Amino acid sequence: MLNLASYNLPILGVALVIGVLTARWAFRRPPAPTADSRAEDSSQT
Amino acid sequence: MSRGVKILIGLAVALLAGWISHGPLGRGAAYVDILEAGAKAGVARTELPGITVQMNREPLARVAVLSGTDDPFLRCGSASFIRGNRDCSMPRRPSDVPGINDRVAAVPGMSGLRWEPRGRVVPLLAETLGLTALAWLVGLGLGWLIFRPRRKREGYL
Repeated sequence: MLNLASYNLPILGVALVIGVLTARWAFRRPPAPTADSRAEDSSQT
Repeated sequence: MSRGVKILIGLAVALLAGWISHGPLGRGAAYVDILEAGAKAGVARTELPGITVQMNREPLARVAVLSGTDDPFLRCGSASFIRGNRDCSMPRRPSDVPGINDRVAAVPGMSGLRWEPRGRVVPLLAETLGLTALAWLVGLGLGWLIFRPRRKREGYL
């Protein structure tokens, strides 16, 4: 299995990066609203 | 979109990348070719005529299919022949003469061998996708450590 893993190292690296990007997409908190954006929102309403 | 759906999409993309590498890019077949060349070299070292070895190709697997003799001494070496169990499962001793099975099993990456081309084997694609999913999971864990939502610290008390 180790031999297979070492042969497939490039695609395993790609999968690892996809995993990190998935976590970033799924877990990252959206940026907090700034004072300017809050002011824009209140002016629109 | 919910968090679970995002994670499933990420896993699907990783598995798709693994399949593209294995199938359309031909790395799976190339790996089996390497194993087959190693197994043929191992059989050639025994200098026995008429022994053929091919890899299991339907499906692609890390399993060698051998033919050409039913002699247990040739297949298993002296361990089974001298001690009489004939099923190749005797523990080896340093003084044992290696059989064809030993030569083929010693090829790095070979997972098994058989003399009859029947029975189930674990497809190489399944092994590759399993490793790909494992690597994706490690990446997901690393990403969670970096990007997990943290509570804002509001004070030291």
